[in-house]
Amino acid sequence: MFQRRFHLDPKTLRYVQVKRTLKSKILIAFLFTTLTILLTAGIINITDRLGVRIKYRHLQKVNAELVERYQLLDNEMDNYDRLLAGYQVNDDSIYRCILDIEPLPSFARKPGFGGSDLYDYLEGYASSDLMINTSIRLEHIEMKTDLQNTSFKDLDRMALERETFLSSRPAIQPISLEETYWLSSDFGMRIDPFSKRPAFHCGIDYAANPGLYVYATGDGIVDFIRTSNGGYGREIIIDHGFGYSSRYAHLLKIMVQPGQQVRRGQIIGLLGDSGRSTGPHLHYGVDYFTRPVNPWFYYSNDLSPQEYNEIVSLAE
Amino acid sequence: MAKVKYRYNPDSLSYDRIQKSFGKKLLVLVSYLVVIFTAAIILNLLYSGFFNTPKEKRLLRENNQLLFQYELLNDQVSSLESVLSDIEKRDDNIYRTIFNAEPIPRSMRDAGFGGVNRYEYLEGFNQSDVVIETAKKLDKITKAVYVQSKSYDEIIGLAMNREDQLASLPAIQPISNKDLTRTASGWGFRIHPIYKILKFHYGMDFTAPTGTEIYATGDGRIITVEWSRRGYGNQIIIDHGYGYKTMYAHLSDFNVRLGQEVKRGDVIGYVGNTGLSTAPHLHYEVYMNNKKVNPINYYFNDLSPEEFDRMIELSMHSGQTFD
Repeated sequence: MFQRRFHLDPKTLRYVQVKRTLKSKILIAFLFTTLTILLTAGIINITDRLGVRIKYRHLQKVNAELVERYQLLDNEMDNYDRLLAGYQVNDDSIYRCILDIEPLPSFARKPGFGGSDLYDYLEGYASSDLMINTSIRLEHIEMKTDLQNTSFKDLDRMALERETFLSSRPAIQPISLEETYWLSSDFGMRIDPFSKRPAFHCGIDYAANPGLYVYATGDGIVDFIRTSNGGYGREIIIDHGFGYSSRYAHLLKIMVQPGQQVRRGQIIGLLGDSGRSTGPHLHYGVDYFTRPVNPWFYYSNDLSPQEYNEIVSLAE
Repeated sequence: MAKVKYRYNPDSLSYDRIQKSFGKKLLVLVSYLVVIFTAAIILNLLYSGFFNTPKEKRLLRENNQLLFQYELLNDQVSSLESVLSDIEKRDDNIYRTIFNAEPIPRSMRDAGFGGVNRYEYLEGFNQSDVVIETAKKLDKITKAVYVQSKSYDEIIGLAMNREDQLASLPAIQPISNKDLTRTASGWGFRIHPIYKILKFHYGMDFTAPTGTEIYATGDGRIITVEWSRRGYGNQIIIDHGYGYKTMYAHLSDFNVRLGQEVKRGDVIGYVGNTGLSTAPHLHYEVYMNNKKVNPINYYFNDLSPEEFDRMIELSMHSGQTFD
């Protein structure tokens, strides 16, 4: 297709084929390349300035998506804040109130503002504020969450401890309400039936028929049992923990072993007349940190005989 | 200076002069330009493949940082979520231990005040601010109207010459219980916290810190002020007349003397943990003609119908009392 071209040589008057020299070829190529490069640079420059480059557009889209994700994170954090506020209400106004402990002081719940230069590496970006604010907010939520977790850990333990305390502390009468008995001697000063002189009586005496079941008044461990001819005769001491122990004396029979775990309402012995006693009765005493206290304050008259039996059957 | 060019014509066996028209010249120029342009665009694409413009560089750096930080935060969030689920389990555990009941669903516990955004469903629309504001106002007005109508009821009552009886009737909660979080355990069979057997609970328990003020729930005369370390502990009984009496138990201290006349809302004593009690709380009983009745029916000056419903649910929920 490419036709050969000729031009007339005026000297020889002959048609000579036109040939391009190497120089002119190089020149044309150089011109062509320069123009192309200049044009490319121009296009790049202008499109970059206008922000219409495909790649830039794509990056902008990615950027918008990322910012959106931060917004979602923020929404999630709103949720966490709401949850934590709910937990705080439970913590402060319910659990700590019932467990009778002071609520956490408000300064403990306020997040510290210590490490603000922690986020220096996020400075210098268009979205610096977004990143820093989200990070700081999350950090605060983390602190609050950790605090709540620790607090609940403690409360969980204390709630269980309270349960143990409630089931351990002496809280019922040591003999069944169905049986006939009378209080033959109260806690306090009284005339000793043997010496006929005033003496301190550190318990309550229940006079009743020998052989009656005697029940543990709270959960605990049998601290020791002792059999002697004088004094308390056959006696059991139960350690209830939390500073409480109870003594059951003048028994006919001891039905537990030292170290044995007993429950409130469990049969531990039979009422008798052993030791320094003038008749069949149960001497019941409660000690709080080794000081005798009035057992009267460690049970109430609010149980019916049936309810007492229910407690006994719970222990079986 | 363009030389004249010839072309060899094989048909006529002669050299013909090549005539270039303006159009042809233009065509040549345009085709050159098209080639240059195409080359430029291809180069442009190649450039994008290997290099970034300054603006792109900046944005890319920013995006990388955003992503990096986001991933960091996301990791934190997932560990946070595991801690939160731990917290939830602990919360439920403590609740079970203390109340001997399955925890109230969170939605119900949060209902009421500040807990949830009641206007959430209105968000996300154009003008949603205006709509929410209006809804809030409307709610306020509705409440105000309700209060107004209540006070009309009262006026009618007064007109019927029963002002004295109205003032005497127990009609408020005995402690400040704005968001009902103090409601602990109501009337009915409950597990006794110490005996662990079912016993009938003849009153209502309000848990509150020791020292919280206790109010007389109606006008009346103090007929019992008793210090005790057993049973109900320190207790007050008010005779309201018209067959009504109220009893306040487990108090830490008193603020009234025997025989004193009190008005509704007077501070008569302070919450405590005395007697057979397992937590600082107020045990409140209402007597009508010397028979114990459910106190929940005697808060009508205090509670809106919604609050009343919630209180019933709350007081039914607890499986265990505090005395």
